[in-house]
Amino acid sequence: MNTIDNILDNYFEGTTLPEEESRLKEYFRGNAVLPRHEIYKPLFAAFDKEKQIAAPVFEIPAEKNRKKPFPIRKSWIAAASIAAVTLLLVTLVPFKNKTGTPSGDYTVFIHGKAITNPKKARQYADKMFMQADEIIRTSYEPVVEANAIQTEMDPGRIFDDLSREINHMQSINQ
Amino acid sequence: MNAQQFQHQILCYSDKLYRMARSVLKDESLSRDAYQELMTRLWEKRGQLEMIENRQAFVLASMRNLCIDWLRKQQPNGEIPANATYPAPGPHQLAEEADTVNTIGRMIDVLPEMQRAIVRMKDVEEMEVKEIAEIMSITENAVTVNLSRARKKLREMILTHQQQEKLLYEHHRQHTG
Repeated sequence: MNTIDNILDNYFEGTTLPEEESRLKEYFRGNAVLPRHEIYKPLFAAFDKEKQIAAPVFEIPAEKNRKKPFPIRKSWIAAASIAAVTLLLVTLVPFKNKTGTPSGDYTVFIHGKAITNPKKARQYADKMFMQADEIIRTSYEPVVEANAIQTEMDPGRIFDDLSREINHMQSINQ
Repeated sequence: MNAQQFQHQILCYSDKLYRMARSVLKDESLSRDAYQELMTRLWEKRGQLEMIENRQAFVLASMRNLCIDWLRKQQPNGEIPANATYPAPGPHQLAEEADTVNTIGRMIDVLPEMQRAIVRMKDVEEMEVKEIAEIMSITENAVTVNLSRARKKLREMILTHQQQEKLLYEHHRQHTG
């Protein structure tokens, strides 16, 4: 019994080492296979043949643009809303100064900064109003977004709140 | 993981994955679908693939599990269909079956799913026992035991097939002689 017979027996027992299996495969791929081993030649040929089977092509899908249009519009709505609210506050509310004591002077807070000149405050308010108007007007879907702002802001409620605050401030000043 | 990384780190296992699908499902068309399905799922979850250390083991195990799920869904009782025993080839089949390599393929296909997966990973893909154990989620000893059983059965089937051929040849000689 030569070495190939031994390796072959061990192979079918599942006890061959990787290098012995490589040798066995090389032997059966060659042209010097002994007649008594011919019966096993198709087995090793089948393994080689199966290894030729290739996968079908998988087309990698195009990477989608992760920026969704809806949140962008939402951010414009938010920006416009903030601008509009700031405008209303700046225009309508004569705030108290930082010490909380009533003051005879005209004082408004814009971005945390006290402005006492009514003309400058008005100019700033007008500028803000123009910007807010421009944002709403040039938005992708102006009418839809303006309606959305209207719905989200509930202008009636905001106006009532502001009126109450103005009346309260006036009563303190008097 | 971008498209280029996916190409290099996942699609490099394509052929092995497809052959795994064929081994489990034993159907070319179904295997193609299963392969495309797995690849689509992997692409969708490509961000998580970077964290996986042994990608080959992961994708091969995923392929096998997906195919087994498909087989189970086809069965009313939700079990993997049992294998038929290897049918003794009839005289007509023997005469036509000039390609004995295809016969071996059919013999492997009648082994239980785990045995044929192991024998193919060992003898076709030339993987180490340790790798196979990881893919199959079994011990290395269990891989060796299943491999041994599978190869012994293959030897039996090859020898039976040879005897059938001899009988057919002698029968043919008696009738023509």
